[in-house]
Amino acid sequence: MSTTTSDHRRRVLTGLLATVLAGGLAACTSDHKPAPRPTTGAGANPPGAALPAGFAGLYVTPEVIAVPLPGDGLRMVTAQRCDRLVDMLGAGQWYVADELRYPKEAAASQEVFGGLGLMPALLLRRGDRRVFATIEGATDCTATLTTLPAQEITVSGAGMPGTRPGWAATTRCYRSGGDLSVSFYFDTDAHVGAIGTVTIAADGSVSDEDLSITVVQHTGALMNTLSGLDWSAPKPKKGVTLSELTAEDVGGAKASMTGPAERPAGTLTLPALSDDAGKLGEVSITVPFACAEVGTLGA
Amino acid sequence: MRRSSTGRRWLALAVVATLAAGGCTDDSDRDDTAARGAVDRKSVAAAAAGLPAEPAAAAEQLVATITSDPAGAPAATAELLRRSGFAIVSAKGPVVAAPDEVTLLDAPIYAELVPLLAEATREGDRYTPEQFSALLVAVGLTDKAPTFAQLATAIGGWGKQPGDGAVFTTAGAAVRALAAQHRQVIHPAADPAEVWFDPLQTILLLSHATSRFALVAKGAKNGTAAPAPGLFDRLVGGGVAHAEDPKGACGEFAALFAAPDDPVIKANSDFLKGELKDRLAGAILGEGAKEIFDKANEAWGKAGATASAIMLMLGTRIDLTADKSATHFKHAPGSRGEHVTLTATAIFDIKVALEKLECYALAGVEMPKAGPMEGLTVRWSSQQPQVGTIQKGGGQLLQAVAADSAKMTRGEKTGKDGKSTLEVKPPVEDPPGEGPELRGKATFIAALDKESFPFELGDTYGLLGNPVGYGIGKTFDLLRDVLVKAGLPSQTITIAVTYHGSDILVAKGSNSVNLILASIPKVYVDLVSCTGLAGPFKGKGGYSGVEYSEFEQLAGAVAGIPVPKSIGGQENSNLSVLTNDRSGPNPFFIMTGEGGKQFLDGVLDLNPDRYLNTRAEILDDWRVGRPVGEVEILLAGNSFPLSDLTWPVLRVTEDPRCPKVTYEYDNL
Repeated sequence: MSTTTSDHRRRVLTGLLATVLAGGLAACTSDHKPAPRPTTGAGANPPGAALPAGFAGLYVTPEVIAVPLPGDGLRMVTAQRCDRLVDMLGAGQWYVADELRYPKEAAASQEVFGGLGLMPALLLRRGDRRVFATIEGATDCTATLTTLPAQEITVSGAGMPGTRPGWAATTRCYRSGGDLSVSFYFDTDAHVGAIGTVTIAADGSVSDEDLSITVVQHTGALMNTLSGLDWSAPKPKKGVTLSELTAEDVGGAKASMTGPAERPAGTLTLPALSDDAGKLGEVSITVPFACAEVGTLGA
Repeated sequence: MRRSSTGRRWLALAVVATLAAGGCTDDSDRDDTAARGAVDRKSVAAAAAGLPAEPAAAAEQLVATITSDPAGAPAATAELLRRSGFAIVSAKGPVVAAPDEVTLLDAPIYAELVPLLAEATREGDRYTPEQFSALLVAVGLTDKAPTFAQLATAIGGWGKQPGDGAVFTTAGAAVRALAAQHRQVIHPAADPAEVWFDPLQTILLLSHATSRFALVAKGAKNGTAAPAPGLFDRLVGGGVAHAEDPKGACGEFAALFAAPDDPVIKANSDFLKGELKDRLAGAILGEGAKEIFDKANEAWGKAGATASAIMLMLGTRIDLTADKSATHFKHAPGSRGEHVTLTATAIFDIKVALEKLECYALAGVEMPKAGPMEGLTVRWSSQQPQVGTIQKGGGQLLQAVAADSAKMTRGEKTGKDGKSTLEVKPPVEDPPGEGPELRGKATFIAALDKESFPFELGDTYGLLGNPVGYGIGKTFDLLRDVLVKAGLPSQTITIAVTYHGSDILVAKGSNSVNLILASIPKVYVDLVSCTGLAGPFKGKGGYSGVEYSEFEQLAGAVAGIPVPKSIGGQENSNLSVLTNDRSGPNPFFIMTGEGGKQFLDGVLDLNPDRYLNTRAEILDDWRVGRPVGEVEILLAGNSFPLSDLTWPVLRVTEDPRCPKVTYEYDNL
């Protein structure tokens, strides 16, 4: 049965809620190293103070402080409202290709939507280049930007596209004990995307109990689709299907890890997943991930 | 060193005589174009060398050159315009640089005017969004001026989507990159008051919003574009090359089009993806106002004339000087030593050899001679400190002498030397020299009157047509409308003024503090600065004593809090807060509480720019003042949430703690 019913959606959401709320706590205790000196945005534009090359053409006013993160990330902090910063990021040489924003009527329920793993985010494009930005805050706003390389993502199963070009963004990473929890979005040019969270043990194995992935088949773009969902409706609108994937036995599921411990990256290989309805058959997913920074839970 | 106009003409004639056998036809005089960089085929090609392949990245790099390299700016401007679909033409006809694939049908840019455009862009000449919207209405694009949000929405997304045409990608990227150079981001939520468009942005936006587009004919680039200038051009010409001219010089631009006879069909082609006009229409129609965009089809054909006229206007500049940069209030009436004479000079600053525009949209317009411009009206105005800054009688730091007062309202025509002068005077102190010496600034603005239009029609004006058939006769009227709306340049100059007396700021307030089980009837602060924002603010602060009722003592006992029968008040009457002209929060200590714990502190937050000059507030002693900031009492280092302990800091004209001085303007 496809998880397009309200019962199934509720289970999907509840599962994600627990995982991501824990991630929310972790965000408060990020253990990344002290940030380098603030760099003004390109819009401020004194020579030599422009943004890192990967973000060239993103213009911000001098009220926005841009701080390069270790690796190739960038954090922007401003006392302005988030919608204003989002407007600004889309008004330079990049355009907003996809955006996840909370439904207006749900403004008072941000914790709930955040708990569902629906973190406000932007996918910015300039030619073939992509930048992903997570957005946090309301009256004061923080955007964490990472460049996304050209990627191929595999989603195989009945009606699934196989290996296709797309993008994968890691929205949040935290450690608990020796485990690393990674939350991600991905989308492909076949209009099949997903939101999910996995927990990776020190040996690279992936826990089946903490695995939570919802595949989204859509006709437009992943985040716009999620933004437009009517969560009170019994099922999504035409053309959209949500499928919660589970793993009875995640034998073979693993993460090949690269990158330094403070910014782990690699590829998740998740074979033998299934949806409750069985419509998708045996689903396997291979998707890259990269943590811009890692928080700690319970530190 | 610049040569005199007469000298240049003799030199030109001598060169013409020498080179006549070479078939050169340009007999105009010549100034030093090399100082600004010539715009010819060679320089434009050089500006294009090494640019990134991505159109937006190339536009960003050209913008960086325009803003950072004075010598390279004209050629970079021309190349940016060319890549944005503009044909660069000579005023005499030949095409200097043609776009690669798509060109604006009716907006050739005169190469001779490009250096002006580059310089004005670099110098930050500007149009407000409101003025730009007025331009769009004036050329007939819309019935109603687009809002800033509509403009910003259109600009923010212009030419960025996959598949958008290179000319649109380039133009859009350039407008945004230029904004970034102004430290601006043009987006709908931006403050319109903080956004402006420089002349290059204006030309790009206006032309793309109103013009139509056609494909460039295959081979046109090589067949019609001009070769590099010859020796004569280099010596006395405008640096603009000439080319073979099979249809007559003024027909060369039209020969660029693949289908010049049927531009409308071409206008429906796929190469228009990413057009600004569509984005503007989307932004405007998206707000349910279709009727205001119905005239868009009437606008085309006017873009070239409007853009060229704007560029011509950039040659009209105003210089403003003063015979002294600082003065002091008079100590005795009748003295002229403290007066300041301001001189505004209207000049035409084209610096290229150009007497008449012979082809295209402004054909027939004669160039003013470079140098002073006679007969333009200069209007004078001033920006002076907030009302009440100066004590009684001193409304302004400087005001026009009686003989010149009409220039502040009606303006003055420039003479043959292009000059208008304004003599201003400070008031007389009474008593002279009393009180500390204070400093102020008076800014004067000289603006060319909006009714001035410095260009005259030549005899041939009205007889010529342009390549797209738009009537030249109508163009002139249009331009007058447009340019009156857009306005002419202005300049400002600031004079430092010192004077004796007091600039009185009072930070005063009191309120009760209710701590649930106990209360303090009054905490208070009363500070004054006789020297304005420079401070120091001196005075007192503290709290009054209180007696508690038996009930309050009983309630305290129930709650485990010992409440005494009475508490004595306490005052610190020696407060002195140093502000040193520093805007923003200035924290200060008032007193500690029991056991030396933090108790009463204050914050003096000064920011006069935050308030309108016209806003007034009333102190508890009924003095009226102008707010310049706020003072707040903090309890234990924090704002107190249950009582309002914040009061305005007011500028007043009298206070017994400050020296009293009055002022009067003499009869000069």
